[in-house]
Amino acid sequence: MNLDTVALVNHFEFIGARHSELVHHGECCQLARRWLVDMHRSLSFNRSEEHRLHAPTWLRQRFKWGPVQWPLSWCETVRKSQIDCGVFAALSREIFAQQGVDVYPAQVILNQPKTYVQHWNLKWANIFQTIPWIGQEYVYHEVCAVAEAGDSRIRIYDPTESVWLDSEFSRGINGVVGLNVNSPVPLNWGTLTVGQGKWALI
Amino acid sequence: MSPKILISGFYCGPSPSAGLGIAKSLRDAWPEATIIGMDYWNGASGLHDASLTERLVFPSWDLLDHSLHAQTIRDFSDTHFILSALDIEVAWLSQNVLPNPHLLIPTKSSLHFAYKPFVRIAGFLPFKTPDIYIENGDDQALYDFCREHSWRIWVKGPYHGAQFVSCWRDLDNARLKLANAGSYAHVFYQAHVRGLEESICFSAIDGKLCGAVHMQKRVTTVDGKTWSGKIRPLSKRQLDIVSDAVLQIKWTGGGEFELIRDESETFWLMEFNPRFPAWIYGSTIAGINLPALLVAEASGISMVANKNPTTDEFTRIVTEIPVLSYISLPQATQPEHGQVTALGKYGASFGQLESDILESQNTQGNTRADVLAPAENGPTASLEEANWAKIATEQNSTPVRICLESKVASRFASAKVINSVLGGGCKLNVAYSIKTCPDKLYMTEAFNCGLMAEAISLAEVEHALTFGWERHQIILNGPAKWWPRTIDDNQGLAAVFCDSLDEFERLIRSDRQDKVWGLRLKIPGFGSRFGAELDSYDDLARATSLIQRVPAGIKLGFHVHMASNLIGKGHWQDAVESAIGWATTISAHAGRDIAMIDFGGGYHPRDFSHVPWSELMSFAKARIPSLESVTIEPGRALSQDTMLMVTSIQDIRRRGGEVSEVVVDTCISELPLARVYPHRMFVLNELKMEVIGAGRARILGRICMEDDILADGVSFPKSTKIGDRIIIADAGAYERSMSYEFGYGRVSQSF
Ligand SMILES: [Zn+2]
Repeated sequence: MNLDTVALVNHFEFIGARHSELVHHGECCQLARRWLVDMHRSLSFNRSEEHRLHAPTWLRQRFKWGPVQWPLSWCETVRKSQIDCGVFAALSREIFAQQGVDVYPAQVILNQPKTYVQHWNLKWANIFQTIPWIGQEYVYHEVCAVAEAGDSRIRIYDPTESVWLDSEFSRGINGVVGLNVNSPVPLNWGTLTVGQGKWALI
Repeated sequence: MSPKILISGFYCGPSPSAGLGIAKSLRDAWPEATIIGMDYWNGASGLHDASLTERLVFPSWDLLDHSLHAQTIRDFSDTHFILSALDIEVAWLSQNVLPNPHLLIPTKSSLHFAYKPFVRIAGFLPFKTPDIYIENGDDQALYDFCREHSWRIWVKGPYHGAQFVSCWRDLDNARLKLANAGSYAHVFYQAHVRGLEESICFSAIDGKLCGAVHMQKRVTTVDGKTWSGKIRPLSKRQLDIVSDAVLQIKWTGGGEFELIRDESETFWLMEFNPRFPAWIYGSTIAGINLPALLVAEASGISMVANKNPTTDEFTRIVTEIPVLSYISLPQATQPEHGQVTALGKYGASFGQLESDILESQNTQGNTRADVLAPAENGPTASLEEANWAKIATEQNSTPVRICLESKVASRFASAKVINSVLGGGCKLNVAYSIKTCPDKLYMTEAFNCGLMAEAISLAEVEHALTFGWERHQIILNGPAKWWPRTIDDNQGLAAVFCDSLDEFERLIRSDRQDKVWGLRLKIPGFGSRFGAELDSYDDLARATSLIQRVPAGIKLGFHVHMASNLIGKGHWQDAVESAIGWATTISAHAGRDIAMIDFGGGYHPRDFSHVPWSELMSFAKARIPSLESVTIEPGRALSQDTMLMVTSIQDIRRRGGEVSEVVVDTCISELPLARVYPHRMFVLNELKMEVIGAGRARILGRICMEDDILADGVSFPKSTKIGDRIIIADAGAYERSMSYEFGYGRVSQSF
C-alpha cells in the first residue's frame, strides 16, 4: 500500500473512537432486544439447516442503510426503517451473542472512490454538521468479529451487506485497509493479528 | 512446435459451453497452434471468435449420422488433440471412440464416477452430498422425502433441467415438464443446500493431475451461471485430496466439482462435470491455464507463452463481434401462434441422443439402481391395500366414497395413546379437528376416545355439543370463529385463540368467560395468513399489553399452527420452537404465566405417531415452567387414509397402442385436492389389482371443466378397459369435507 499509514491514522479522527453502542432504557429496550432475538430464531430455520451459525441476513432485508441521529436506543432502533452501519453491527452482535459464539465489535476502514464519497457527504450532510466517518478515499465502517467460543480465529461479518468479509484482502472498492477489533485478547483474521483495540493497517 | 487441437462446444449465450474458453486458453499458451472449433449449430456464436484457426459446423445431433461422425472424430484424433465441452458428447465419445492418447476425455469407466444423480466420486472426497431421491414411481415415498427435507427440493434431469419446488403441485408439474423433454425414469430429486457457490476445476491425464484451481462465484446470472469469480490456487491439503481422487478414478481431461459452502464452512458436492467449466478462461487470466497444462502434458510440447497474471479475479462482458461470412447466421424461424420469440438454444436437439446415452449406460450395467437401490419397478400393493379390491367390486354403482371403518378405529386408537403422553411434567391433550371430517363416525370415535374437540366456528362448537362434548372440552380457533352467532355466545370453552390483535382486544372487552384465552401467533418468515403479527416491535408491544389485560380468572395460552404436511418436518419444528420463544417473551414482559400451548394440526398420517411429542413438551416446559398442558389438533392424520373413492372408467383413449387418457366417473368436485398431495391409486381388472404407477397417461374427471384432471403422469396396463374400476385412496379428510356436488343436474340448496 503506497499510502503513508501514519497519515491515514491521523486523517481519521475516529480512530481511537469506540464502536457505536445503542442506549438501553429499561423494559422497553429489553422487549426490543427480545424482539430482535425472536425474529432471528423465526427467520434462521435452525431445524431445517444443519448450520452451526446463522448470520442475521434478514437485517438487510428489513432495514435500509442510511443516516440516523445518534444517540439511539434499542426501542427506537427497531422501529426505524433506515439504520447506519453502527446500528447494523450493534443488532448483529446481540444476535450472534445468543448463538453461543464469541462476538466482538469491529471497525474497518474501506477503500472507496471519490465518486462514492462525494455522495455520502451530501446524504449525511442533511443530518449532521460534520461527517466524521468519511475521508477522501476511505470510509469508516462497523462490522462484527465472530469466533467459536475460545477460538482466536475470527470471521468478520458485515451485516450492512450480508457478507462474510474475505480475509484475502482486495485493493478495490470496499477493500479492507484497516481493522480494529475490540477484544480483550489478540485474535487472528486470516494471517493478520488484531484485537485489544489496536488498529491493524493493511 | 505447436499442437493441433479440435474443440467442441461453442455456444456462447447466457448459459455457455466452455469451447471458447478452452480455445482462448490454448491460444494464450501457443500463439501458433492450430485450433479447430466445432459445433452442431451455426448459431453457436463462439465459432466467430478470432482465437480459432478453423471452424466446423455439423448438423444437429438428431440429424447426424453417428457412425460417420465417430469416424470423423477418429480421423481427427490421428493428428489433433480432441476436447469436448459438452456433457452428452463426452459420454457419446467415451462409448463410440476408443481411448487414444489424443482423446482428452474421460473413459467410460471413469465417467461412471460422474453420473448423476449419485455422484460416485464423492466416495473419494471429503465433501458432504445432499440427499437425493430417485424417481421410481412411488409417490408416497417421494412425498415422505419432501416432508423430511422441509419442502426445499430440486427436481432434476440427468443432463439438463433443474427446478426448485416447494409443494407437491409444483413438483408434479416440474417432473412432467422434464418427462416431456426426456426420460421420466431418470428424473431425480435433491434436497436444497443453502450457501455460496464455489467450484474446483482440474485437468488430468490417466489419473495424473495436471493442475487445479478453486473458484468462488462473485456474480451470477439469474440462472446461477458464473458471471464473475475469484480464482485461488489449491492449498497443499486440497491439492492432495483432488490428486488422490483423480488418481482413484483414472481421470483424463477437464473436470469440475461444483460445490456449495454453507454458513458453517462445510462443503457440499453438488455436481461433478466431466469437462472444463465455461469460466475456464477466468482461471487462465489468473495465471493457471488448465487446458494448456493438459495439452502440454499430453503432447510433451511446452507452452510458448505464459503471461504473468495481473489479477485473480475475472468477469464477463457482452459485446458484438463480426460474423464470419462462410458460416453466417441461422435464419429466424417463423414463431408459432402465442410464441414470443422463435430463437433458442440447440440444447433441445440433444433429446434423442440423451435418451440413447442413458439407455446405453443402463444396459452396460451402470444403472442408477446399483448406486442407490430404489424400490424395484415402483410400488406394489400392501396386504391392507389388496383387501380393497373386494370392497371396490362389491359396489353397485360408482362413484362412491367408502369409509374404512377398521382404519378409522385404528387411527383414533393411536390418537388415544398419544392423548396420554406426558413430557416435562405436563400433559398432552389431543383435540379432534372437526372441520377435517365432521362425519358422525369420526365425531363419535373422537368423543369415545376421550379427545377434546377443536372448532373453527360456533356452528362447529354446536355440532360437537350434539355428540356429547361439553363446552369446557372444546377449543375455538379460526379467523371468523363467532359465526354464525356473536362473541357472547357459547361461553365456558376450554380455550379461545384469537387470530389477530384486534380480535383479541374485542375478546378482552367482552364479558365472556372461558378457561383459557390466547393468541394464535403468525411466525415471521413462514408466509401464513393466520395469527397475530409479530414482525414489528409495536405489534409485539401491543400483544404484551393486551395480555396484561386478560382477566385474572382466565388462563393464558398461545397457538401456533403450521401444517407439517405442507411445510415439512424441520420447518414445522422451527415454527413450534420459535413460537415457544415468542410466547416466552410476551409472557415475561406481560408478567403473566402461560398455562397452555397449542401446536395445531396438519400432520401427515405417516408422520403423526413419529413426532417426538414428549421431547417437544419437555423443550416447552423447560422454557415455560408454568406450562400445564400442550394441545395438538390432528384431523388429517386421523382421517385422510380412512376413505377410498371407487370410480369406474367411462372412456379410454389410446395413442400408439398405449393408454394415454382414462376418463372416470368421479371428478375434482368429489376429490378437490386430487393434485395437492399424492394419492395411492389402483386399477382393477377382473379382480386383479394393479398399482397405478408413473407414466405418461392422465386420469380425467367426468365434468366439463378444463381443470378436471385427477392425475397426470400415470400409467395403465394395456388390458385396461371401459368399466374397470379405479380405487383412489387417501380420499378422506378434506377430500371428503371440502367436496361439493357438481354435475348431478341440480344445485346446492344452501346458497
Ligand atoms: Zn427503550
